[in-house]
Amino acid sequence: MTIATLRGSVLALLGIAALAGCSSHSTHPPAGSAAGDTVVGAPAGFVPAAAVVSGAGHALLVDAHDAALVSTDAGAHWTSLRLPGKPAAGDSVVVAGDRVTAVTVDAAGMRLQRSTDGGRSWQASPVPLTIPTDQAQLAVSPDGGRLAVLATVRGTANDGDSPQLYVQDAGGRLVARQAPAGGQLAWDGSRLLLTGGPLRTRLYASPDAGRTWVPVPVGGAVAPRFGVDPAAPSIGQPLAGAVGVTVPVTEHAGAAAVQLYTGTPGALVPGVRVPLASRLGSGVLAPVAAAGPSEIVVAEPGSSTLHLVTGHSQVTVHPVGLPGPVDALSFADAEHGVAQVTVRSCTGKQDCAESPEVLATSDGGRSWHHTG
Amino acid sequence: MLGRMLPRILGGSRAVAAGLSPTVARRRSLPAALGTALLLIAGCLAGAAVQPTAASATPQSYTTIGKGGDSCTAPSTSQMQAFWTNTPFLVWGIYIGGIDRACSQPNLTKSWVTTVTNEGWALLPLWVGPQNPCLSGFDHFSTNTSTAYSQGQTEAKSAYNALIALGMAANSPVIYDMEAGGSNTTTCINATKAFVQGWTDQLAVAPAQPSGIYTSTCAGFLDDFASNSPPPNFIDGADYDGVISTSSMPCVSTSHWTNHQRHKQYAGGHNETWNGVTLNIDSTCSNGPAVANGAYNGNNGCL
Repeated sequence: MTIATLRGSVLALLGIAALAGCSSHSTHPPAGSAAGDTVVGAPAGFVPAAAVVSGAGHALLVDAHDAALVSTDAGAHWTSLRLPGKPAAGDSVVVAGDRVTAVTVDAAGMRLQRSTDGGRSWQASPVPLTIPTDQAQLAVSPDGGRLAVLATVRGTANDGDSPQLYVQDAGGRLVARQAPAGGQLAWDGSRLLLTGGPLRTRLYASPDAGRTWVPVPVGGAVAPRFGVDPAAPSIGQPLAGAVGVTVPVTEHAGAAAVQLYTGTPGALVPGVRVPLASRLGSGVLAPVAAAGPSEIVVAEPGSSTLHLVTGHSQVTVHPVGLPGPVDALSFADAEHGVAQVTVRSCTGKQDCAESPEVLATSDGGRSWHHTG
Repeated sequence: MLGRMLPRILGGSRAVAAGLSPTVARRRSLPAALGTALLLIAGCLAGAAVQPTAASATPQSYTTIGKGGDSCTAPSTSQMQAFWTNTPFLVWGIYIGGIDRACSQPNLTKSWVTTVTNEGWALLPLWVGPQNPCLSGFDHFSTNTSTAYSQGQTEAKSAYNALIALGMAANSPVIYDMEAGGSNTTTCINATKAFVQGWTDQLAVAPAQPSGIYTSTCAGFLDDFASNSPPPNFIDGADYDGVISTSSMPCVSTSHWTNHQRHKQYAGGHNETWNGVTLNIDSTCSNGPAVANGAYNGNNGCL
């Protein structure tokens, strides 16, 4: 179990990110960390403009002035975090105790920011982009020793994302590497994994920190780079589990399902298959989160239904308090989780409303309440 | 409650008369002027109609104002219906061809176009041909500007044939999907501008089609195409800032493409569920030409 990041789907708001990238964090508030006050629930007066749920029970809220609140215990407690600049759009903030890493953007470009005192002081280094952008994902290994930044250019989602990859070398400098596609990064020990490509049909592995990449078959042949069959399954972010990596794959053709594969890249074997009741289009990924060493939670993309997988068994629950389909999901442990839901409604083509909400559970996903 | 702290109203709408003021004020060739005329005619129609014309007429260029989306592959007609009823959507981007198109399109047929346009949808046809020669991982056009120009013309002819094969009128707008990255050298910028010039000029040949260009508003140097002579008739700018207004495009001058000549892709791939169907879509707001059975104004927030 060496994967660096456990991550739910990235939220589709402005897309900041909190990724704690650690599989062994406390479910208690990080006392004295992140340089701010820790409170139960979101503090009054804080009006978030964006939120991201990711990692192992991690959530980040950012207001219009770039003030941030971070939770590492599935929304039970929130700590103010003073970032040294505007966080890049994407999974761009990693909090692990007092160690905070962030990618920020300003007029001068993109910067990697590091703090070892919970955000009281920062060390900045430039991310030497060749194509300007303000969108990036940060992947940090659990011990903080490995770090990669994947910057992508907005507006190229259909066909590649124009990825620019930078990996930290032994001297702590960011070195440009070639990424085979835009997508999501994760560390698996010294191996760097990337899921992405058209319809998110590809998994790549790099044994040498991004110098070389190999497409990894998952349950079949590697999808082509162009002209991808819309029935092709979509590969989700790899998750740490009791036995190596678990790769959730959403199947759209015929009866929709999430097929879990476990093992190591190149030797992934099918495990539990979770049937979905949703009607899915191509490229849809079901939100999936690890909720412990052998627990996986799968969210139905089209409803609030959750599927709780433990070992080889699975239970379908219809939670109380989830107002709609989950956009992103993250669990600190088998009981405590946090989710983002966007409720949408329209009357005709007019008077449409969209309401993103962040909710928490303390009973393994069976009931949910708003944080704060 | 936190959830109550994050409301976002997507915007109501009401009928609005489209303005007719000429916009991109620069010298135009005669064929390009024809393209502009098509846009202006569409603008007149937009002022007169606020509902799609449910008819079996050949879908053609109409000004469309409202929200939409696109997906890598065209959804089934039943999925399109689910995303029509009581949703904000009235525009859908379709990838009609090109060597660098990411997804195959088993649903995208003439019958599909007829069905969805009769339902009321307006379509944004996109062509994903060869890309900027500085962009890795794609087929490219030449760095030689003369060759790139000719290649742009060739792609325009292919796109036109695809429009016709899909049952769209000869005046249908079509957008070249120009992926953004790598266009940061003078050689590649000039080659890209020459390619787009060839695309624009060829589409302006009678029967002219309004020519569009899609790229990232900043990283794709979208505003640079305004100095082409003539420039593309309209733009489809990508900036995932969540701001739906097509007037708000970073790095694009507010004085360019101002007369119902803009679409904006304001959010990238995400899941949305409507009427029991979940699709992974990009979000778009339109204030420009699309292929439809009538003009439509569905959301003033897109202006």
